Formats: sequence, C-alpha cells, structure tokens
Amino acid sequence: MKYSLINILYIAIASVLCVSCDKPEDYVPEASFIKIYNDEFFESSYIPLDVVQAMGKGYFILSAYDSWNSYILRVDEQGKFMWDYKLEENIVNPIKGLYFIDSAFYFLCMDDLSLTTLLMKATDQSGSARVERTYADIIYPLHSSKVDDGFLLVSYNRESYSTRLTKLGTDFAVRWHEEYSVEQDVEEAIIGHLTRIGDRLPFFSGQAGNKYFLNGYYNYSISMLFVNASDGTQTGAVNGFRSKSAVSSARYLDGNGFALSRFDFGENYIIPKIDLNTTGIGIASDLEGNIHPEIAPNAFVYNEIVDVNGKEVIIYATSTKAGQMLLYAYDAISGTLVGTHHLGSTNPYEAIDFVPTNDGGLAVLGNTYTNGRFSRITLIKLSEKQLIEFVNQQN
Amino acid sequence: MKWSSLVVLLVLALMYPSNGHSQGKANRRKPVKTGNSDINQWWIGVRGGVNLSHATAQESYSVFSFTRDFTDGDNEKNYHAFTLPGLQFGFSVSYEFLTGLSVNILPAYVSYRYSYDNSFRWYDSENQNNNVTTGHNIETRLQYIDLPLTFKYELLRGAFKPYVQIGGYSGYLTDAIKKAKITSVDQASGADREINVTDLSVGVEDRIKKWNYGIIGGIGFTYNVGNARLGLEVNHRYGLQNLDNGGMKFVDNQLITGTYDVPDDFSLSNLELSMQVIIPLKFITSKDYIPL
Repeated sequence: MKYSLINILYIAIASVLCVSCDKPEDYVPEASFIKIYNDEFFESSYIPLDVVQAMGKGYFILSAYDSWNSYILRVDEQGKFMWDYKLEENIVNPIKGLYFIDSAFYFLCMDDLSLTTLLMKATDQSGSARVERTYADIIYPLHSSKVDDGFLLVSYNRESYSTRLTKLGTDFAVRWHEEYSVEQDVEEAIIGHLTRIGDRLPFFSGQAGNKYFLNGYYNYSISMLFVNASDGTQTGAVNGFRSKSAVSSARYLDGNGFALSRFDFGENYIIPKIDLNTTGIGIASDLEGNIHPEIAPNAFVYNEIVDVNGKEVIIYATSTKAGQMLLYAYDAISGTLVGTHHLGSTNPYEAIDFVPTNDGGLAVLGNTYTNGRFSRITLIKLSEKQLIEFVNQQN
Repeated sequence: MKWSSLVVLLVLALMYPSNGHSQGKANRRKPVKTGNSDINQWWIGVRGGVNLSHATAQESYSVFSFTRDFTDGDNEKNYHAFTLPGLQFGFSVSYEFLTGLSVNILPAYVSYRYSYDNSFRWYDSENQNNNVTTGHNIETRLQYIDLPLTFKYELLRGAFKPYVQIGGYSGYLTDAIKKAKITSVDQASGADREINVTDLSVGVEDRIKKWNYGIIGGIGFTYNVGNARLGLEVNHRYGLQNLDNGGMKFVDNQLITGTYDVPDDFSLSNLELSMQVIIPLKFITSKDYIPL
C-alpha cells in the first residue's frame, strides 16, 4: 500500500510536469492583428492613403472612396472600428500626409470646384472633419510631408504649368513657395492620377539635411528635385523620362545618402543605399539598383527608416504581381537585405503605407479586394516579435 | 521539455511501481491473503473506439471589422457540437490497490474533429437581389497522444462489473490540420445555386498549443471472459485549456487573409466510446486455487 501511494504520486507529478513545461504565448490583441474594414455594399470602394498612430490610442486612416471623395476611419489600438466619416462631396482628393497634433488629426484635401487646397481637422470628439484653413492660391495638392520646422506641400499649378512646393509652418501657415516649370500640359495626367482612372504617379517630398526634395513634374518628366530649405531654390535634379521612368520613393539617410526605389517602363528597382548629387543633374535610369521583377508594374513603393530593437533598418513596402503585400528590410548601414515578408493571400492585397508603432511593432496599411472584388481598407499590425524576426532572417 | 524527456518520465513513472512486483520479488513466495481489502492487482490491456468533439469559443475573433450594419448572423461562427467522429486507440494500465478501486493510466493516440460555419454577404444597396454570399465550412482535425489518469470504482463484484471513473488528462499535440470549404451563391454574376469556390487544407500545428489538459469522467462495465475482461465505457473529457496558440493568432496565412478565418480562443470537450480488453498480470487465487 505504501508503494502504491508513492507510485500514484510519482505518476501524478510526471503528468503535471508534462503540462507545466508548456508555456505558450497568450494573445495580446493590440500587439498583432489583421483587420479588413468591411461593409456589405457592392458600390463601396475605398482607396487608403495614409495611417497615423494616435499615441497608443489607436490609429487614424485617411482614404479616398468612390474615385476621389474623402473618407476618414478611426480604429482603436486593437484595430477595431471606432467611427468613420465620409466628408462632404465637394471635399475631394485627400492626399498623403496625415498628422496627429494635440489630439487632433490634420490632413489636406481639395475643393472640387475651385481646386483650392483645404486643411482639414478631425477629432474624436466630433467624429468628423471640418475645414481648418483654405489655401486659395494652391491648387491640385499632390503630397505633403513633415519636416523639422513645419510641413511641405507639393501641388501643381495649372495656370503657370508648374510644380509648386509650399513650405508651411508648424501652424500650417504658408512660409514660402517656389515653382518648377513644366514644359507641357500635364493636367490630364494629374487628374487621371487623382481620380484613379489614369496611371498612378509617385509624388513625394521630404527633408535631406538642409535641403528639401520632392518628386513631381519638371520639364517634360517626373523628376526628383533638390531645393534649398530656406527658400525653395532648386539646386539639383534626378530626371525621369516622361511618366515612364522615375524615382518612386526616397528616404534620406545621411550625407548625400538616400534609400530609393525607381521604376523604368514597368520594371522596379530597389536601391537601399546610394549617394546622390543634390547640386547636379542626374538621370533616374542611371541609378544602379537591384531589379525586382516580383513587384507589380505601377506599384506604390513606400520606404522608411525604422529602429527595430536597436537596429536601424530601411523597410520598403510594395506589392507583388501575385497580389500580395511585400515588405523588404535592409540594414541601414550596409544596405544589405536582411529580410522579406509577404502579407495576404488568395484575394488581392496591396501595400500603401506603414507606421512604426509605440510598442515596437509595425502597422501596415493596405488595400484589399474582399471576395476578390470589393475594394476595402486593411490594417495589419505586426508585433514587435514578428518585426524582429522579419529583420533578422540572415543566417 | 523535449518529447524524449517526457517519454523517459513516463517510462519511469510506469516502471517504478512495478519494482514491487518485479520478477525477482515475484519469485519470493508471499502469503496471499484472501481478505478482499488486501488484494492488489495489475491489469494491462488495449482499448479503442470513436469520439465526438465539441469546441467552445471563449472569445471569438474575426478579420472583419464592420463599418456599417451588417446582415444578422453573418461573420459569426456557428460551431457544430458532437458531429464529426474521431478515433482513439491505446493501452490501459491499471493498478487495483483496494478491492474494486483502481488507478488507471490510459495512454492513447486520439484524433479529435470539429467544425464551424460562417458566411459573408455583399449586395447592391438598391437591389438586394443582386448579391453574393459565401459560405465557409471550417473543419479542424487535431491529433494527440493523450495520457488520462483515472480512479475507477467498481460498483459490483460479480463477473459483470459496472464502474465509474474520474480523473484528469493531458495530451500532446502531434498534428493539426484545418480544411476550409468555401461555397458561393453569386447572384450578381448570374448564379442561381451554390457553387464550390475553394477547398483548402492547411497545417495549423503551430497555431494550436502543444499541450492540452482537462478532467475526464465516465461510466462503463467489464465482463469476465476466462482470465480476461471485456469492457465498454463512455467518457467525457472536459478541456480546461484554451487551445489556441495566441502568439500565432494573427500571423498571416492562407486561412486568415485568404478565407477570412481567424481562430477563436476555444476549449475542447469530447465524448468517447471505447471497447477494451484487459488481462491481469498475476493470478491471485484463494487457498483453494480459485481465481479471485
């Protein structure tokens, strides 16, 4: 009897050990999620543009709907729907560039009749957006970005046939503007881009030390221009060829170094590290890089430098011919590829933008077609662990 | 802990009590007491049968977040309870330490199956007859090496011995597969009946926790046939563990972004019907050499 009890205890302990040795992770809802923001209507069609994290209180997504109408979507930190708002039908052409300042969200749109640029402000309290400021002399806004002491706004002036760069202060007031002439009428191409019935064009802007850069029409082509940060005077350019060959994304590294991507008659190139002459003239098709046949022609490419667990990497987000989102990670110092990550399957998925999150993860904004046909917004949150695994795939 | 370590532990667990009845000690002649309360006995046997499972969602998840009202019932998983049969096959080792009262280890290879349905719908808001509805049937098959430990009490002492048993179990996952069958009624494209869209089978072993545990209880009977006993028993397993591996819940695969299937937090209950044949390891007789 004595032995029997010991035996039973022995077996019981063995069983408990079996169970206790398993230490699986619990699901942390805000750490990782995949959300598709769906409604059941055939006629709904959303085209996401930008996402910003609201200081750990969820995300704010800017989108177009039904061609070029404006739509904003607010979701919580777990990606769950909070509220949305379809802006008035005269407020169209929301552009990339979304800012979270003092618990409010700011973005730029356009009046559909006057074509003037509108600064919009949205808050959780109102659950909507209203016009905060009108820029009467800035028409066809194309892209905005944040710089050290304010914001940049790229637009097209149909009256002077020029690409315009406007410097806005931190209060969104105009500081200066400069125009760069276009030697042909590109309004039709720009309208086609804005209404999504024509080719998508890679407008962007940013800061490179004491210079700004922008991508827009210049002379006869889409070109990357370098300008003085003080007054917008042009100092250099990387010329494209019409709208068929140009730089498609750029991120300043240091010195004269940039992380770029470019396209050339349907082929896409990733150039994680290259020195550009910001005071001379270059040709986009001369920029050496790795060709990536897997990237879809005319795909959006977005890149950003991200600190992943103390390691600086350049992450590119783009889309494949197979209809998946594709993330590349390059070491920011060496420029070597350190990881790739595909997202999405069966139905088409397209990467639009991403934002590093406060918890060390990455939120990827994309477009998908539910059931293969209905255009919807998707937000995919990678946890810090997933992101670390993604950028550490080298053996 | 590695699986090999577990095996060693279990072997030790099984071998240790056998020392008291090992060959060497068994050769020592010990007086056999005929008082029922002092009779102890080892039984070994084989057992097998079928089972039916029921997954219970503790927290439900979806890839969709709806921005407008949606059709009632859409997007909700409808679990089917105790419908898909699984199989189990294994062994039993019993130690009867008091008359009619025994402790039992029932290692078995078990497959559990369960399924759920959900559906999604899109329609023309001006003409709802113009719509497309997809139906999703998701079947999950989990395979475990289970190790139940039960205490069994026999209610009668004749040749026919009904009994009740209760205990706990733990199980080690060896394989997990999800099969997704998607059908569609696409009236918007001119269909008037359901068509098959996708049949997909995806391994999900990394998305299920390696270990399961719970409580087990059941009733059964054995019937003496010669020196062996034939038996039939029904057990109910009640899982105490959320089996979903939370760290993998939203790691993208074909199921999540392809078929919009996100696993819920769930536990598994199970009804099993098993037949068994057990034989004693020693033959205990009375002074008159009558088997006891």
